[in-house]
Amino acid sequence: MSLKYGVLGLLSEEPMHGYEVKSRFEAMLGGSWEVNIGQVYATLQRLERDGLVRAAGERGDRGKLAYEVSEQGRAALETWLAQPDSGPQQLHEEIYVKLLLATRLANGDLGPLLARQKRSYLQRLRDLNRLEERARGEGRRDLARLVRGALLHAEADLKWIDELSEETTTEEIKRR
Amino acid sequence: MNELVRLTEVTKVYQEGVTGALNGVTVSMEEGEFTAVMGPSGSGKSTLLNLVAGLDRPTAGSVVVADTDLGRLGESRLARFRRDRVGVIFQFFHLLPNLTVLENVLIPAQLASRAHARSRARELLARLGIAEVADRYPARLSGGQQQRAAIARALINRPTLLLADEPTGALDTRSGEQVMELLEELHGDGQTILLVTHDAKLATRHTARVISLIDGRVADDARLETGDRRPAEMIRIRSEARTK
Repeated sequence: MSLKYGVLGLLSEEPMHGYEVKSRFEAMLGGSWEVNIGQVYATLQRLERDGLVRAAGERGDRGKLAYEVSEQGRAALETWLAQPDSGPQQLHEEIYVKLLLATRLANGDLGPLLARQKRSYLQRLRDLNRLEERARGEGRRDLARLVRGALLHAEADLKWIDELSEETTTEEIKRR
Repeated sequence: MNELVRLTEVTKVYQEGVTGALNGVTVSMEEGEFTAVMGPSGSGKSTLLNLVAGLDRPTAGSVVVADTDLGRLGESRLARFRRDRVGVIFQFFHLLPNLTVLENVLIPAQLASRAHARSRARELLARLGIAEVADRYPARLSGGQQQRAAIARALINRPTLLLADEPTGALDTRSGEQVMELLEELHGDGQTILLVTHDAKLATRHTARVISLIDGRVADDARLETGDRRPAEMIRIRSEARTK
């Protein structure tokens, strides 16, 4: 869904051919989303079929075809931009299943699992901190904002693990 | 690297079962390390810092700092240890309001001559970027400036160990970040630092070792890597397989 609008948004700046769309899209996202060229072409074809983009001029070197946004495409982009993001909260599923299973299999002793998960979240925070710093250093304020969002999510994950660890420790002390 | 701090089976019990006690903590820190101690409030992190600073004594176990077993020191030798070996900064700065910044910095100074102490203090203030407020009273300084003054005071005797208890807790984000950058610079110059914080973003940004305390126990002791990963290894906005 967002690839479609990402492509549409980039084409609304200027006409481009498929490969330019791919590299500009990846640069915009600071390398955090790698798309393959096939996906980009498929997206462009769907957008053309729906009348949101059209070919701009004739095929150029090596048969490359540039696309531009139609009026209808511009309207669709504006409508999409004006809509708030909604839908269910996306959670990374694996840790939830691990937790549920560990509770059943390890007889409630989640300590080691939580400690390992915590360490992984701390490392993630450190990596994202560096990425944010790098983005700022390169003057990529837009990308730094994106990384900031990821950082705050990672921090929330860590708080959640801390809460579970505290709960587990308290229960363990009570049992003794 | 040499070991600078070692806590062995340290237990601290407060009367009336107040939280913040420690329960059999064994942990060590090496010279030149910048270590963060994290944990929820009441987990014992400030207690740990106070024990390492010689501000408090353990109920059981031993605390050894720079080859000195603090438990074996009498009050006057412990006071001398605090003055010569450790510098402490706190969340609320603890500057004396009726003394100027320079006078505050000079409080612990035990250098050979007064002139020498003053020149070292001015040098520190300049290095910390607050030379121009040396003759002002703390109340006229911003929070960030007050914390820098407190750092200068903590460093006046060239302590072996700098202890920081939530040093950014009372500061806005920007001043807090500047204080942390200063600490990182000091660490770069070889200063051993023990930081107590509940802020994971801050801890992981500036330190590569994070000790987590929960209910007075060490729940984890993580040494983090400092690698430059590709952005796609750190953030995945949407996997290719799921893109339609």
